[in-house]
Amino acid sequence: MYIRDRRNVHVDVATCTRQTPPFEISEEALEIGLELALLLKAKVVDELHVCRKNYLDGSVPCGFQRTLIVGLNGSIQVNGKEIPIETICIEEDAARKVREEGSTVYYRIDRLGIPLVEIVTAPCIETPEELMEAAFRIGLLLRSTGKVRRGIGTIRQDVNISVDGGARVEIKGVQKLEWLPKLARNEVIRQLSLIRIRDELAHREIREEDLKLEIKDVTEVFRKTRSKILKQRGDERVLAVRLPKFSGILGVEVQPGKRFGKEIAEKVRAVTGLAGIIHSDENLEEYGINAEEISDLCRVLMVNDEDAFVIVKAPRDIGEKALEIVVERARQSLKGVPSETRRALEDGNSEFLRELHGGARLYPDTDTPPIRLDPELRNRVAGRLPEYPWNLKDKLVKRYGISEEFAERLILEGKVFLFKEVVDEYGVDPVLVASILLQTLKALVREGVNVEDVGEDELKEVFRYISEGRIAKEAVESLITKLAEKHVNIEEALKELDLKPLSEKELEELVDEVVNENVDIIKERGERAFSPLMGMVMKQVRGRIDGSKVADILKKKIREVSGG
Amino acid sequence: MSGDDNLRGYRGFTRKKLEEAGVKIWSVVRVINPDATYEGILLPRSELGDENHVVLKLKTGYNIGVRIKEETVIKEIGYSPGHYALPEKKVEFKPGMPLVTLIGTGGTVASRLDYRTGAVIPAFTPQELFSAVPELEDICNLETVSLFEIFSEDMKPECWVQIAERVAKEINKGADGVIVAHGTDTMHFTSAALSFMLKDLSVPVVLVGSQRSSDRPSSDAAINLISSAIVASRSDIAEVVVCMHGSSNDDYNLIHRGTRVRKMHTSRRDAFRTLGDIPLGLVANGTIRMLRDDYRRRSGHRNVTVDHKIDPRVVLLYTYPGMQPDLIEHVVEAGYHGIVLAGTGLGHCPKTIIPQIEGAIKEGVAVAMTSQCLYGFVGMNVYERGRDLLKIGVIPCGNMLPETAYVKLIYVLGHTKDANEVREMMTSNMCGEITSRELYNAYTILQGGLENL
Repeated sequence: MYIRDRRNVHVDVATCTRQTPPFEISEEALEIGLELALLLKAKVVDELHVCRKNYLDGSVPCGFQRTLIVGLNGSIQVNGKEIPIETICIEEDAARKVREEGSTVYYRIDRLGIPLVEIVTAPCIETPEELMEAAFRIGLLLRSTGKVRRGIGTIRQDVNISVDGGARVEIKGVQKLEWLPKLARNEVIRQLSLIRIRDELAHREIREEDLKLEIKDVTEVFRKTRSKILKQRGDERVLAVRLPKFSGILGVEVQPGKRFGKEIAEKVRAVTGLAGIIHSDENLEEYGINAEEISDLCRVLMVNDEDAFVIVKAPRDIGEKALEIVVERARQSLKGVPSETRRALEDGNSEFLRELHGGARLYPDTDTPPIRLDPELRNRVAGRLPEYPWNLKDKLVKRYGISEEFAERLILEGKVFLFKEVVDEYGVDPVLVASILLQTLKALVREGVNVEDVGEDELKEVFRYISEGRIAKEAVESLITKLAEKHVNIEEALKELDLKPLSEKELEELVDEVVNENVDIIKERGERAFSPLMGMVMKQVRGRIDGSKVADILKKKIREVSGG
Repeated sequence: MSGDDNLRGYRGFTRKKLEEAGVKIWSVVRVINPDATYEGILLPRSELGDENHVVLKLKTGYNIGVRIKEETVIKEIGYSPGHYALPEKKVEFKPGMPLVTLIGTGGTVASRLDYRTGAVIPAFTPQELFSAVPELEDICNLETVSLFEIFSEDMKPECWVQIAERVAKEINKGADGVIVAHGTDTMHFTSAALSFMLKDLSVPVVLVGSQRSSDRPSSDAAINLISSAIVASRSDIAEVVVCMHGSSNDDYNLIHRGTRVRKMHTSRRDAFRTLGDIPLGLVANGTIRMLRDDYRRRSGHRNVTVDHKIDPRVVLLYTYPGMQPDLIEHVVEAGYHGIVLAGTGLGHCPKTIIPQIEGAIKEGVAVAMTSQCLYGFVGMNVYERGRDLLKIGVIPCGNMLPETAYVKLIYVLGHTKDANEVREMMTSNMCGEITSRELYNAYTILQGGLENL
C-alpha cells in the first residue's frame, strides 16, 4: 500500500517507491503483445520505442507509465462491420486507488508495473450495443490466447465517447461488459445536457470574463450557524463565490439522478479531497441554513435572483482551490463539454478523474534503448497463433459430438474456453457441460439468480465435483443458486444444502423404507405405483444422486414387492 | 555529433535514403513500405541505434522505429521543428539577498523536458535556472560558473584542485556561499578533497547533484538545488558539505560533513548518508535545522586559501580472501607512493600478503588501513593479525572512510614523504574525517524497513 497526500503537490509528484533502476521489458509480455497484434491483423512495428506517459495523479509513484506500440492498423469483424484497431500497446499497469480519507489517498500497488496490453479501436462505433459487441468480440479473442486471467477487472474497458458538438470524454475502469451500453447512454445524456447548458448560457449572454474568481470570506455570516455542514472547526473558513446569471444552471440534471452542481462537487473532491460544495440551486434549509444567513450571504456576495453562488467550508488554501475549480468549471460550461477522463460508477454514471491528457505528455523513455523486433520471434509467434474463436464451430461439433447450435452458442457467449477446459481436463460429458453452461445457467438467470456472481473458477469447480462423483448433475442448479446467493466456497455451499452425495447402499435403504411404508399402494397398483413413489424418494435425494439410479432401484424393489 | 547535423544519428543506407528524399529532422514524413505506410515527425536517432530504422513520432505521441528497405519511399509532407531553449527569465540583482555562486563541473544541474521531442533541455545560466527552478529566485542572487564538463567518474585529483581554487576565488570575490554541482558517483571523493584543501573557510561550500535525472517526475534535482541554495546562502556553516535528499520522499535534505559522507545506494534518492556519525543538519520546508553544533562557523573574512599540494600516486585496495601477494609487488614496482587498504573487519588482510606489505613499507610506500565494513573503527590491537600489521608499519586510520583516506593520503603525500610525518598526519583528525568516538545512533542502515533514524 502506498499513501499520497493530495495537499502537498511536491510529495505526490516525487514520492517514488521504485528505488531501483527500471528493468527491461518482460519477454513474455512482448510475445503476448505480439501475438495479440497479429491476431488483430495489425502491422507489427519494426523497432519498438518505449515511451513515458506522465501520470501525476499519484497512481504511478515514479510519475510515469512506460508504454510502447507493438502494432498499428489492425481490425476486427463485428457483426459484419470491420472495426479498425488503431494501436496495440504494451504498458505498465498503475496502482489502484482503494480509498480516500480527506486529502489522503490510499493505493494498492499489487498490479503496479505489471504488463498489460492496451487495444485501441478507431472512433467508429456508433451505438451502445455495437460498443458492447465490439468489446465482447475483442475479449473473446483475448481469451482465445489462453493468456488472459479470469475474473473481474482483468479485461478493463476504457470508453471514449463523444456526441456531435460534444467532446471526447474517456471513461475508465469499466470492469463489466454489461455496464457498457448504460454507461455509454448516460454519457451521451450528460454531453447533451452540457450542450443544453451551454446554449442556455449563451442565450443569457454570459461571457467568460463575467465569471471572475472573486472569493469572499463569509465565515462571519455563518459564525453562529446551526448548520452542521457549515460549522467551522480549527482553521476552517467559509468561502463563497458568485456565479453571475447562473441561476438554475447548477440544478440542471446532467445524468440520471445527478445534477450539474453534483458533477462540479465531484471534480472539487477529486482535486482537493473536499467532501462537497453547497450551491444556490439546492434546498439550503435542508442543510440547516436559515433565511437570515442566506440574505446576509447574498448581500455580501451581491447576488441577485439571476445569479448563483457556491459555498465551501475548509481551511483557506483548500477552500480557495475548491472555488477556483468551481469557477473554472463554470467557465468551461460556456463551451459545452470539457475533455476529461472520468471514472465509471456502478450506477452507469461517471465522475471526474482528471483532465484528459493528449499525446503531449508522451516522451521517450531515456532508460530503455529501442527494441528491434526479431523477425524470427515474429515468425515463431505467427506460427502458433490460436484459431479465431468464431472459426471453431465445426471442430467443436466433430470433436465433442455436440450440436451445431450448442457449438455456436458456446462461442458467441464466450463459454467455449471454459467448456473445453472442463471437458478436456475432467472428462465430463460434453453434452452435459454444454447444457449446463447454456441452458441451466440461462434458466437460473430467468429465475432471478445472480449467475454473474459465480466466477468461472467456481463453475469449473462444480464440474470437477461432478466428474469426481461428489455431486450429482441434479445438484447443479441448487448449488449454483447457493453460490450466487452467498459468497461461500463450494464445500460450504454443499454443507448448507445438505447435498452430500448418497451411496447406492444408502439409496437402497431409503428406497426400502419408502417401499415398506407404501406396501399397500404397490399391492393395489402394481407397476403404476412407480410414479408416486419415485416422487417421494426424489424429494429426499434430489441432487444427491443420479435420478436414473433411483428409478432402477425403485423399479426393482417394486417388482420384488408386487411379486411381478 | 554536431548540432548542425540535420540528420543527427542517421548513418549509412538510411541516411542516404533520407538525403535522397530531401527530408531532415523535424520533417513530417510519410514512409511507404510495401506492407505499411507511416506518418510522423522524423526524430533524431540515438548514436547507438542501428543503421536500418528511422524514428517517427506518430500523431498519437508515440514513437516507433520503421525499417527502411531498398524499396521504401520517403516523402516530406511538412515540417515541425523542435525547440531546445528554455524561456529565459530576466534576472535582477536583489539587494539584501545573499549572493551564491554555482560552479558546474559537468552533468546537468537542472533541466526541463520538452515533451514533444523528449529532449532534456539543460538549464545552467541564472536565467535558465530561475526559469527551470523558480523557487531559487526567492532564496538568493545567483551567479554561475561552468568550470568543466566531465562525468564524476572521470574526476581526477587535479580536478579537485581546480574546483578548490575556483571556490576560494569566488568566496574571496564576495560569494556568501558556493554550490558545486557534481555528478553523484564520486561526489564524496570531491567533498573530502575540498575539505582538506580549502583553508580558513568563511562560508558554506555545498556539493549537490541528483540521483534521478530531471527528465522524470521523481527527479530530486530541483529540491536538492533549492535546499543547497538555502544552505549556501543562509546557514552559518563554514565547511564543505554535501546536501542531498534525506529520505525517499521530498520532505527533507540532509547536510553531510564532506569527509564522512558516502554514496550508499546506486539509485535511491536518499543514497547519501553520513557514516559512523550523524549529519550536521537538515533542510525541511525551507528552513535549516542543525543536528549538532561542533561545526566551523561562518565569518566575514575573504582570505580563503587553497593548499593544493597533492601526490596522486596512491591506490585504494580492498583486501579479500585469496588476495595474491604479487598485486602489492606490482603496485610498488609501478612506483606508487601510497596504498590505502580497505581491510576486512577491524583492519585485516590475508597473511599471505604481509611480507609484500612489509616490503612496500621498507621501499618507502605509505600503507594505511581502513575497514571495508565502513562503520566502526579499525582495531588493530585486538587480534594478532592487526598487531602484526602495526608492527611492520601499517598506519591505522581510525574510523576514516576508505575513500576519504584515499583522498587524504593523496593530500598528505603532497606535503611530505617522511614516514613519521605521514603517520602523524594520517592519524590526526583534520576536518572531521576521524571522530573521537562513535555515537550510539550513528549506525543507520535500513534493515527490512526499520528506519533507525
